[in-house]
Amino acid sequence: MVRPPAAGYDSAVAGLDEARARHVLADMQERLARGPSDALGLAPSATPEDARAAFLQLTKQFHPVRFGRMAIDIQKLANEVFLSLRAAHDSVAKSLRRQTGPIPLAPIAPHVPTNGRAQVLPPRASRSPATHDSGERPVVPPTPTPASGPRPIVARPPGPPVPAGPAARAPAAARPGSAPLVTPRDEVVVLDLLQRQQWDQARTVLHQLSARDPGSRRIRALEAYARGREAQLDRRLDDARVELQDALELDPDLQVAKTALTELFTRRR
Amino acid sequence: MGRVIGIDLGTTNSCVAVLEGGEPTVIHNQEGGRTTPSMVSWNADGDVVVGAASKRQMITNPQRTVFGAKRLLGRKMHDREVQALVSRLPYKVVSAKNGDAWVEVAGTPRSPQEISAHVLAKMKRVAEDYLGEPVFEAVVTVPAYFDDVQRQATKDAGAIAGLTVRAILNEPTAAALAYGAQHQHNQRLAVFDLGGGTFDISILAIENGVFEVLATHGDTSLGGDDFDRVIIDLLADEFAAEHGLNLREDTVALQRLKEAAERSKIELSSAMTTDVNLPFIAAGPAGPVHLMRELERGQLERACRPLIDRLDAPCRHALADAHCTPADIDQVLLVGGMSRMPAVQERAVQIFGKPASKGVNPDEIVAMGAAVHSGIMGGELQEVVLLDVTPHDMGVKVAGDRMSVVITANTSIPTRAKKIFATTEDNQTYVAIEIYQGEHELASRNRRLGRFILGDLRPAPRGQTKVEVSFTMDADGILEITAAEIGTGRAASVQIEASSGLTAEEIQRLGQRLGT
Repeated sequence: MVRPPAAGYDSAVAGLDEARARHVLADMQERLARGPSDALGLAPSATPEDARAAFLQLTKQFHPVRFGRMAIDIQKLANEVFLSLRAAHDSVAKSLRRQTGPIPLAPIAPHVPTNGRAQVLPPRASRSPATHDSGERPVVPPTPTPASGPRPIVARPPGPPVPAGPAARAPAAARPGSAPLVTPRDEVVVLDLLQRQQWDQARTVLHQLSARDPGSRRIRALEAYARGREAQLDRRLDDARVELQDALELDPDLQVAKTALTELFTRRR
Repeated sequence: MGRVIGIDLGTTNSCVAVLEGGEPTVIHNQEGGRTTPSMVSWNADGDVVVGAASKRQMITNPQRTVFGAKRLLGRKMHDREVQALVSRLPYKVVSAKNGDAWVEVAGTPRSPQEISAHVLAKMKRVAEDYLGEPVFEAVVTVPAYFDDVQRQATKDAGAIAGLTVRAILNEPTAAALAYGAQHQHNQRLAVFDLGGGTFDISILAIENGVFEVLATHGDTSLGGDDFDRVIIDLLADEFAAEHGLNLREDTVALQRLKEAAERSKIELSSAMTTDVNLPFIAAGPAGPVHLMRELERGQLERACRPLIDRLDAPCRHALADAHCTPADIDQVLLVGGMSRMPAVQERAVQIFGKPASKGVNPDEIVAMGAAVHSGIMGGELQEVVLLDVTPHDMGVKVAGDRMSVVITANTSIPTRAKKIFATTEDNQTYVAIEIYQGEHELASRNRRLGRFILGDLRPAPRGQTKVEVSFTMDADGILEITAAEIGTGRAASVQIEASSGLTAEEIQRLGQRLGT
């Protein structure tokens, strides 16, 4: 049931640990106030994996369930602290991804799907915390109506000029003795996997292609596109925009990225 | 501080467990059973009988014996699921003043919360007898796909039974906790939970002791009862064709059919054929008529095929939402009594491409998981914790009956999301917002949770007063709303009009009547 903010069952059981719980929670609030890295206890050299490990460790300590038998105000405080911790993790993870640029794609053993049916469905919803929607919705009593005004498109500062035309993206002529370079056929394979949302397999193929031709802007563009597309379907729209724009910066002729960006801006409410 | 017990409040059977020395232990009831039928009877002399004793009365006292109350819990009389159920139940379902589905027993309307409270009170007594001390707190499990109203109704049932429900835990998640407490290495689990009344599928990742639910899907009206009904229909239709007698009109005959259906379904999980033997089931023009026939597993499977087909879509949705392929799943856990049916197991293998884990007791693992969760709350288990998700979209009704989603399904909880609303009339001092839960684009097709009114707004020309509304969902999946006027930062008053459930007074009164 929806309940007013002040409602809730009263904790009749005032445990011995409540004083300590208040102390621990207040302490974490102070750490949170100093910034997300402090809250997670991360060194400046931390990786996204470190951030995740720190968050999981703190989750064991600060999940509201740990305070579930205490006074109602402690439960509320614990909920707030945990929400802030999650936000801290998300912001650290995001900025670390930015700093390190594209995350090096880990080699993943390609797996053969045993049942292809499971993969054709689009992801229905995002697992990431809901984004703050600043779109305004004028309210008509008794039902509110959403405003349909266009959302301003935030322009990104133009990247370094990229020469257009085939010369820019055509891989250098095959060097003698090197592995065969990326062919349009390879691209079709990748795009097909992406269309079917088989992210892991697409990553594997892209990783192999990039090993074959480390200098190819086209492959880096495809990698960015893949990350962008995954983010887009995951409804992490800001991440999606950054990645897709990176993809277009790397290769202005990547038509699929243009299409995806257009879709992103037209579908965005 | 007293103990927190773990209760699996099932549609057909319930089970209670406690944590002892860090290990969950299932407790026997007074009759020696490890599970207790979720059935309550009111005798002519006013006595209330719960569990196995009630089940024994089902044939002699069908109108006063209530089973499967969980399927009505937190539901409206006009819900399609309730309407489909009503015609097939031997007891009478009536509408309460607020439209909730209640049960009428011997002329007295009773809420499903009260009926469930009798079952919970019985489980509480079972635990108290075993522990030798009073119990006041519990972790109670619910189907993952239960909505906010159903969860709140479960909490209220606990309150009537004299139990403070410290956490509402999703059944498949509970199963994963119980399994994972013994197999703590990092892995991905799919929990396939087909119980008496509901089907849930959850995909979880265990990472360094943190159990993270990646996605949950399900069907709140698919369970063992539906399989029983298929058999009842098969037998009754055949009987009608042969003898021209409708067994469904006779509540006693229907009750005997139901019992026979459940028994043959269970037998056909191990045997290939079984006998249905119901002498004197009806009276024909030429004297008593008997129902005697052989039922084969193949017949049952053919008849249940449409039900089994309904298992596919939730599984595929859950995998897609979790960004997993079947190959990413390390273990498949089968939970719920219906998962014993070979055809159901085959379907699970077909969907996930691997056999299910052995050594899991599908009737007890959920209660064991609830006990594990009580240990997490109490601090006995420091290295395990659970991050669950909300199973449904949660949003606000906007113009054209559209659903404006604020919190999306499968968002990890606790979570908070905000939206900004503005006035549309000059000097408007309040706005009313209706909250809905569900995936349909039309708000009216979803579950209405309630309406809240934001008042005390500054009078201003239209569009200039803006209010930020914040939805906070706690770890139990229960929603709380706050609002503040933008610019002034002044908290707008939020007044919620509940559209279902019991009031605090009703809960207290029922609690006193139960003697808790």
